[in-house]
Amino acid sequence: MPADLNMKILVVDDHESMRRIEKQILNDLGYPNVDMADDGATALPMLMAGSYDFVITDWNMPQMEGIDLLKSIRADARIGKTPVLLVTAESKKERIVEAAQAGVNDYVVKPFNADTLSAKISRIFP
Amino acid sequence: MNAHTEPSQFPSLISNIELESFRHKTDELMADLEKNDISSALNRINEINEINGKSFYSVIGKLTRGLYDAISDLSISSKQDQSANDKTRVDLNYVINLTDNAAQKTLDMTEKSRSNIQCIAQQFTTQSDLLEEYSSLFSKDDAGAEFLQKMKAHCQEGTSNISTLNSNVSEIVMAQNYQDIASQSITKAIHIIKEVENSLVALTQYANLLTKLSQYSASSAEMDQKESDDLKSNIGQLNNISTSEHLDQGDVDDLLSSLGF
Repeated sequence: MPADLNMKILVVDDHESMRRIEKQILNDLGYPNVDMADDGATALPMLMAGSYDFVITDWNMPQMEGIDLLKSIRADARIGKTPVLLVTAESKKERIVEAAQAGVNDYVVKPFNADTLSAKISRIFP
Repeated sequence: MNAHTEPSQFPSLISNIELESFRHKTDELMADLEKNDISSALNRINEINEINGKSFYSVIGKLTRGLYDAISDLSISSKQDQSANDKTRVDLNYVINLTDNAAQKTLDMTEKSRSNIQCIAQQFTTQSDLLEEYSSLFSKDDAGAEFLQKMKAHCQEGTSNISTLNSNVSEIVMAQNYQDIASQSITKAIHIIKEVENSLVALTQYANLLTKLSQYSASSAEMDQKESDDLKSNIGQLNNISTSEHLDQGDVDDLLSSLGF
């Protein structure tokens, strides 16, 4: 299903500037419904409470890392099918394999550009 | 290069007394060998080895202290509040905060700019609509038609410029992307340097302890009470430090100084 421009997106990153950057890019790409969380531990209850269509998360975060957030999402039947995009500076092969095995939908290495993000969203929502 | 300058690097690490003792024992060894006194020569070799061992640990300790001081000069601190003097030094956390604040301000401005751009875009859209409405309501003579055409071209050009402006703002936003990467790299560097610093402190203590032990073992005489107390004190200090994860800068400096480095 092609990406619905009105879909609800949750951006998770412990760096405020990074959250704001991703939100602005998403807005610029035509997605106005973007919420933000500063950590996996903050994001998880938001996901449980709100019907999010898409999650974009960092890997390295203080309380709950992105990979653990991904595993928690996949382990819960209510939100288990939510598409997850990891946006991270972690580009080691074993990390990417670990994310793939945990069920990530795609993986963007920082620094990235708007075209890359747009292409990944199109790939996740063909 | 002056022949005397090159070896002068070593006396700064090895004390003059140790160096003189080493030379003296070497001369004695040569004399024993010339006399073919092998038994005495072997004793001299053992004595030279003992001096060598003491010097080795002492040199390790001094080199370690030098490295530790070099890292301390960087004034890397996790504290947010810095004194005026500290601010004049390199402070990587300060750099992180500074660049992050700059990124936040830039994002504040790009958000406001996008809002302004949307307003201007809306104004041009309204103008275009009004022109269309005008042209449908009133009959146009040649001059009127030409004017309307100019106005439409003006609106199209404005819309095109807004699109370019929006694209430029996006590029500004994306440029802030690197601040996050840079701060993560700097944070890792701070962590690594702190680990190296802690390791250097431990290594300095270890080298000092080995130096003391080699001094005691080198002497065939029994330790007197003061030497024994000193040794226990040194070992006690080492144990105390090993159990505490983080020391204040002042504590570390005091301890290193007390250990002779």
